[in-house]
Formats: sequence, C-alpha cells, structure tokens
Amino acid sequence: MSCEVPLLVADHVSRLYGSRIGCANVSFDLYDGEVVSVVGESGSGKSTLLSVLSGSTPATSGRIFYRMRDGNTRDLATLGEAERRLLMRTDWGFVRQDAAEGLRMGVSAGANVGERLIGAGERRYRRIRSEALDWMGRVEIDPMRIDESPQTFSGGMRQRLQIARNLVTRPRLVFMDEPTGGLDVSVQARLLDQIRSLVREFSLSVVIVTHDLAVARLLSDRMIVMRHGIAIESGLTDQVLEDPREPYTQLLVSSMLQV
Amino acid sequence: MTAVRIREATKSFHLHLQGGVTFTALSQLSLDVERGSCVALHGPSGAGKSTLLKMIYGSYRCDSGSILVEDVGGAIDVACATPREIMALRRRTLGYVSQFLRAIPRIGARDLITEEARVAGVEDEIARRRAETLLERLNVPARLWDVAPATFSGGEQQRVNIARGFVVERPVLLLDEPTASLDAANRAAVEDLVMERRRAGAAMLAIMHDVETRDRVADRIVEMRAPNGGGGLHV
Repeated sequence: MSCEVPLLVADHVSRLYGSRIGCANVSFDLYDGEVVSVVGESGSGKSTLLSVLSGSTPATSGRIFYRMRDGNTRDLATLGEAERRLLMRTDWGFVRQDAAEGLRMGVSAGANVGERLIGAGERRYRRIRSEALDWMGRVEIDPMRIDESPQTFSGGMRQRLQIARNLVTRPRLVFMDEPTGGLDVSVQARLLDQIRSLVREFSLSVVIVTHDLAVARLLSDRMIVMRHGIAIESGLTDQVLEDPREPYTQLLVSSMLQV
Repeated sequence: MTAVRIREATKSFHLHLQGGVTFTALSQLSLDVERGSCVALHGPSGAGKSTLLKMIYGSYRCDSGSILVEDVGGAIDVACATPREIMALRRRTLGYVSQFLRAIPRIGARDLITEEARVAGVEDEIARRRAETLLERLNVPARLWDVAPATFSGGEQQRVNIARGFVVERPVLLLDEPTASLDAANRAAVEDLVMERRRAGAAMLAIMHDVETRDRVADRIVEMRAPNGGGGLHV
C-alpha cells in the first residue's frame, strides 16, 4: 500500500551553529494524515528542527526524505532550486507564529490567498478570486473584507488568513510554529478547532512546534519532546503525557495547568 | 475465541520528581478475555485496575510481558507495538470509555460523537444518525446536542462520553467507571448498551463499583490487589 510509505523521513538530522547545538540526531517518520507535535521550552531546538525540516535552514548532517506528488521519495538535499521552490509554494505550507511573517502585509487579504495559487500556476483571475472568497469563508473571515489589508485584521483573523493562504494550494504537509502563540484564549480555542477540522478534512500531515502541551494534546497523534537540541522522548501523545518517562518530560507534564 | 490475552504484564512508574521513587502498579498479571464476555475488575483503589486498562489501550507503556489484542489481521502486542500500529488498532478494534470527558472547545455534543465515527471510517450521514440515536437512548435532551459539553453537568458529560465510546462498534471495549455519576434510569440505558455489544460478540473489561450494574453486565469478576500487598511503593 502506497500510504504505508512515509511522507517525510528525518534521518539523524543535526544542525550545529559552530560548536553550539541547534538540534542533534533527530529521526522520525511522518505518514499521511498524521500530526506530530514537537514540544519543549524555548531554546530546546524545536524551532531549529522545524526550519531544517522545511528547508529554510540547511542541515549540518543527516538527511530528510520526502515522498513527492509523483510517488517518488527524494532526498531533499538533492532537489534543484526550482523543484524546492515549487514544493514550498504548493505541496507544503508553513504557518508562523507571527502572521506578519507569513503574510504579505502590504497587499489585500484576497491577494494573500491568491498569490499562493498564482505561484502554483493558476492564471484565471475569476478562479483565483472565487477560491480566495471560498477560503476566507472556510476560515470564518467575512468575505466582504477580501479587498482589505491584513493590517486592519485582528491577531486571530490574521492567523486564520495565514492558514487560508497556506491551504489554498491543497498542500499535503504543513509546518506550524506556535500557531496559537500570543493569541487570547478564546481566539486560540477557535483557531485550534479550525486547525483540527481542516487537518481532518484534508487529511493533512502536520509537524507542529508548540510549548503548550494542551495544544499538542488536542492536535497531535504523536509527540516528540526536545531538550537541549535532542529528542529525549517520543511516542503516542496520550502515552507521553500520561506516562512520561524522562525526568524532564515528567517536569513538563507536572507543570501543565489542569482545568 | 480470545480477544485479549495478557501475559505477565508488569508496570512500574519511576517518579523522578519525587526523589526517584519507583512505584509498582501492576506485577505479573495474566488474564484472558473471550469474545462476548465482560470481565469486571474489582479491588481497592491502587490495585491497578485503571492502570491495566490504560496499558491495554496503550496510554501506559508496559515494562514486561505481553498484551495481545485480536485485530483484523491477527493479534497485535500492544506492549511492543509502534505508535502507528496502536493508532490503527484503536481506530478499528479497541475502544476506551474513561470516566471523564475530554471536551474540545467549541464542538457540540452531537458533532463530537459523529466525528469519532467518521474518523473510524463511518459515512457522514450514518455517523450522525448513530450519534443521535445514542444521545436519545442515553436521555441527553435534544436542546443540548449542539452545545459544547464543557459546560454540561458531570452526568451529562459522562453520557456524551459513553455515546462517543459506543458509536463505533469496536470488538474490544475498555470501560472505566462508565456509570459512576448516573442515575438509575441512565445506568439502565448504559447496561442495555453494554449487553447489546456483548451479545454482538464484543469483549469487554470494565471497572464498575456499582454492584448491581456489575452483576447485570459482567460474566466474570477478577479480583485485583496492589502488588506486594500494600500500596505498591518501594524505594
């Protein structure tokens, strides 16, 4: 069965900054429709790992494999620049904590969504506009605001627009870096619920970096705990949270707020 | 036919934050559960009843021994299965009804139950109908169906949880105090559900403190005691 071949494979991925470890020897497989959370505190290397996996930072050692849309699994380091750009523009998404980094703040909401479609080769203006409207509706942004700049949007709306922009090309893999960080709790709940249903609807594979174990619990199937750049523990999300093995994981879990 | 076969399952917790204390929760437990049978686990708190259910479900790791659960393609040993194998086993074979509902913000009761069935591959419309039938049988008033259960009473939450656990007809069911906060009428509704699933061939392990419910639905009682006689604590 083709779905049994992983979509993404990290094989002993390391990123060093001189003698300082960004992340070291991280290995895991990600399958279609699976959500893996990478948790840890600031400086644990989780964001470094995400940026290496998504190709924005080169790995110092180790390899990353990805099953392309044609079914062939490729070592990402061997992709040409054009192939890599196409991958990032269409088959991958990246949702950043700061929406201003993931969006183009100088153009309208509709253009933010449409731009990814154009990048994926769509040229029909009407089609682009109707897709943009459709996606704004999906993420619960009033379609009347399609021509407004995201500058006028609230934090939660910007984050939802960023998600629409990423998902409009129907990517198979989405990287998320603290997507709910810095938002009010009620806004966070709404966003989490939307991410959760979109992940299911489109059977997305997701690598999500978060320091919030409750977010990881709600969204992810599996969890990787990082500390000092090393993946110290991993497993089913409920297993890691209910039966943490490492001292540091026990500390993290016991520090989690219970409601 | 044996649906769950446990051999010498052992579980201890090493509590690093409490000075490295090791706590043995379950020692060398062996148990078979046949299809169509409901085994009630009985014993004082600390005897390892919930621990055992969580080990079978894969939420707790197993230190040694084996936990074989009969799946479509043969038995899976949860004690050494990969996360992915356990995820697949849970989707089609292994259900777990805990005492408490883990509510999800903003999602209504009916959708919560429907979604559980959809993830297991049940078609949309059928999933929704099944969810509604269960909510009716469990006497959850229709005005609550579209309300997120976070604000429900304990008994209402528990019934939503039960509906969620029964909406997919899985061949192995683990029940942790499914009737703890229910009144007599709702207890009876749950007993009926359990008996229906048993007659359909499901194997069940249940923790039930209510003696009447236990006598009605279980065909076997297994006594459990804390390892080493006492609280199971040794440093």
